[in-house]
Order: sequence, then structure tokens, then C-alpha cells
Amino acid sequence: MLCDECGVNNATVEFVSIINGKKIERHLCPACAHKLGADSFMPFSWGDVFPTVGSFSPRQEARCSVCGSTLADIARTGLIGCAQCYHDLREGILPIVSRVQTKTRHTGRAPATFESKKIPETASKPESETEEARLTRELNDAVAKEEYERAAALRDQLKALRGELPNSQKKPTDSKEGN
Amino acid sequence: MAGSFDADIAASTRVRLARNYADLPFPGRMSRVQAKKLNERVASRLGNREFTRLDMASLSPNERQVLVERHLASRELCERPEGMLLLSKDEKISIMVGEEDHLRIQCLLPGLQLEEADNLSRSVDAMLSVDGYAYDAQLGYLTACPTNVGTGMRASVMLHLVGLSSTGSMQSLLETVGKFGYTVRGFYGEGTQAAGDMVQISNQVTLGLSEEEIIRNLGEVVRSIVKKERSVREAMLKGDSGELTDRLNRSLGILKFARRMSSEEMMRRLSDVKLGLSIGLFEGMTAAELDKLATLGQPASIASTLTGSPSSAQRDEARAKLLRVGLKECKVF
Ligand SMILES: [Zn+2]
Ligand SMILES: [Zn+2]
Repeated sequence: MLCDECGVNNATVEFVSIINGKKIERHLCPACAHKLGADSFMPFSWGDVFPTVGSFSPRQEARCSVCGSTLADIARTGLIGCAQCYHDLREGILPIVSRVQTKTRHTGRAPATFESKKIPETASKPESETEEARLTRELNDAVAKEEYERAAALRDQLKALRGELPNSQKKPTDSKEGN
Repeated sequence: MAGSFDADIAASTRVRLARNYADLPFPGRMSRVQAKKLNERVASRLGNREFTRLDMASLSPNERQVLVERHLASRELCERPEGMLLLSKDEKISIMVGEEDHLRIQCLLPGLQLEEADNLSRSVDAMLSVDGYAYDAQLGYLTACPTNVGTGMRASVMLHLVGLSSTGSMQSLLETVGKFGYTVRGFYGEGTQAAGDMVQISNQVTLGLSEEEIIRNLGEVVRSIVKKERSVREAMLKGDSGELTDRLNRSLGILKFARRMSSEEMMRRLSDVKLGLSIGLFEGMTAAELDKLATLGQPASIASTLTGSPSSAQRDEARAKLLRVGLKECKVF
């Protein structure tokens, strides 16, 4: 058998990578195996991630307001153009994210600079519905684990998000204005 | 000590964070001016912190290849005219600037040291975050490729699985591991010790798990594989009719006395010597020292020690000499 990479030398090396549970097998010569092995991370087949450009039928023409990328551009290059794309082309990008990641909600660290403005920013965005779903889920989780302090904080966040005011932060002026 | 981190089986650990700044388009869409701005920003943040700045454009092709061989830079970075690498003096931290993402903060440590690598990369991350990362409340750190979004974290461990490879159980092991959310890359099989029976295991998912979970889960998988490899090695030694010890001793002898050595043979022989050290056949050196020799013996690294454009025979001679000197302390127990 000849090497899959160079097609010249005899293939003596079996190279196997398993990505998303899908096995990719290649037969290589030692030289090509070495060359590819020296490369650091994941070799990526974009066909796996963007199966068909046509599947982005909704608002195909939408463009990112900062870099001008369309969903078709993203499907072609396999890369998102800028941070704003995630906002402007969100409904096209989220399905891609869920396809490659299985989950769609970050639960890890945040930059220190972000923490302070976290709540007002998300509350004003159209994604507040999913934010609400997350808080509800976390609240249920906290109650189940009997972490009542966390549950109380989450309940307050949830109220704030829904436009209700948490009891602890209720100010006299606010409560009157509401009525 | 490297020996305490299962370094005879786990050769190295890497944690990589993908980061982008909010005010610049991702590298694929950056202008040259923006790329320069990015480089200056990162360099000035880390300028006085013991980092060496390497601009890809000012390096020779061989110098760039050395960085790739040493896993400090990707080939993709090397091909970018504005690509830049910031390398800490101890080479534990390398920051690729202007690769697929603005920043690829990488921490590379010998042995199995996931928590340590996480902590180290985290401290660099904090220094660079002051210029405002692209971050989204739902999706976390935003990256050019959706496969990195969320934590932006790819943790990986390079394993030397000579035992599992020689008993033919590698394939099934890798397939099992691959089903559980890990990416496995390996070179193995008949006459394939080209890469020295090395297998790299990394997390596949970057979103929906915390950094601690990624590190912990990967650590568990790796430790169970290390345990399996260790028991296979013991069984190999116990069941050896003399064939194995002969092979390992031969490999040491050849490395100590050969006058010409190809990189492929080097990897195969060093793999044997590592196994010999691990099962107590040899002494006087650590697995990490052997790994370092393997790195220094790669083609571009050897070429960088020679002048002009050396022939392959000259390179093989230089490699053999490197190994003869390097293995001086390695003795039969
Ligand atoms: Zn080939
Ligand atoms: Zn954009």
C-alpha cells in the first residue's frame, strides 16, 4: 500500500485520530507520519462541522456589521470572522456550536474585566430568555443540593432578569415608581 | 522531579488557551496594520517579563521548523507573515500571536502535570486579559473556530505506550477512549515506532465544562491508561524469554556506539531505552532526559547545529554523536 499523504513511499504507519467519536484512519510512510506527527493539534475536516452550506437557509444574506462576514463565508473558511459575528450571525452560528460542542452554555471561567458588567449586559440582550433558563436550572440545582445561599442569590438574579426587583435590593423610590 | 509525574509513560502535558481581543477582527480577517497592532500590544504587555520575542518573518525556514519540532509553534503560525511567538526563558510558556486566534497561550510541562500547566497558563492569561477579551455570557471565550469556544482550553497529554502497542491492544484502547469525548492521535503498528509509540490524548469539548472539569476528567482517563500500560510492561518483563531484554540492550548499545543514525531509528531505539529504564533494566538517566535527546535529534534541530546545507549523512553523523554523548550516563542496571 502506498502512503496516503505523498503517494510515493510504502505505507508502514497507521495513523488514527478519533474526533467526535469518528475514526479517521490514514496509512502513511514513516517520513509523512513524522511530518504530520510533529504538528501540534487537531487536524480538522470542515466537512464534519459544516455539512452543507445550504443548511443555513434562514437569513443567508445577513452580514456581520464589523467584519462583513456572511454565514456562507464562515461555512467556506470554517472560521468565524470576529467577535461581533457571534452576535450578528448568532442564529446561524449557534447550531454549528451545538453540533461541535454538544452543549451550548459556558460554565467555566470569565475574564476579571467581564464579571462586573455581566448582569446588566445580558439582561438587556435578546438572549435573556436562555439566561433565564440557565438561572432557573441553576436555581433548581442549588435547591436540590441544599445550597440555600446560592439559591437565594440565583432567585434574586432571576427576579432582576424578569424585571422584578429582588427583595433585598428594593429601594423605596423604585417600588413606588413601579406602581 | 520529573520522575514523580509518571514521566516514564506520560512524556509531556500541555494546556492551551485560545483567546481573542474584542476590538480586533480575528486573525483571518485582520489587516496588516491590525496584525502589527496586535503584536505590539502583546509584546508590550509581556515585554519586561522574561519573554523572548520571535517574529516569524525574521526567522529562517529551518529556525521555524525547529520551533515546530519542539512543539512551541504550529506550522500554521510559521506560515503567517505577521505571526509572532513569545517564548518564556524556561520554554514552559509559549504564546502564539496571530495564529487562528489572536492568542494561543500554551504551557508545556514534562510528565503528567495538568493542574500545574493550568495554573501557569492561567497566570499568563490574566496578564493579557486586561486589554479586553472577546467574551460572551452564554458562549464564553469567543474563538475563530467554534470547536474552541467556551473555555478555549485544549489540554493534552503525550503518552509513550510501548507496552500496549506491542501487545496489540492499542487499537481497542484508543477507540474506547475516543468514544468518551477525547481526541486521540497516535502512531503505532508494525514497524511504526517512527514516532516512538507516542499517543496524544486531549479533550474534545471546550464548552459546557469548567476548566477544572476538563483537567480532572482528562487526568482520570490518562491515569487509567498509565496504570494499564504499567501492568502490561510488568507482564512483558515477567513473560520475557530473553527476546525483549535482548532487544532493549541492543538498542542501548547501538545508541551508545553507532556512528550514523536516522531520526526514525533514533525514535525506535530511544523508545526501547525508555522502556528499559522504566522496567529497571537500565539506570542513570530519566525518561525526561531521553525525551529531550529525541527533541534535539529531530531533523531541523540537528541541521541548526551544522553549517551550510548539510547532507543527510552529515545529519545522521551529527545525530549519532549527540546520542553517544547524551547517553553516556545510561548504564545497564
Ligand atoms: Zn508519504
Ligand atoms: Zn464579524
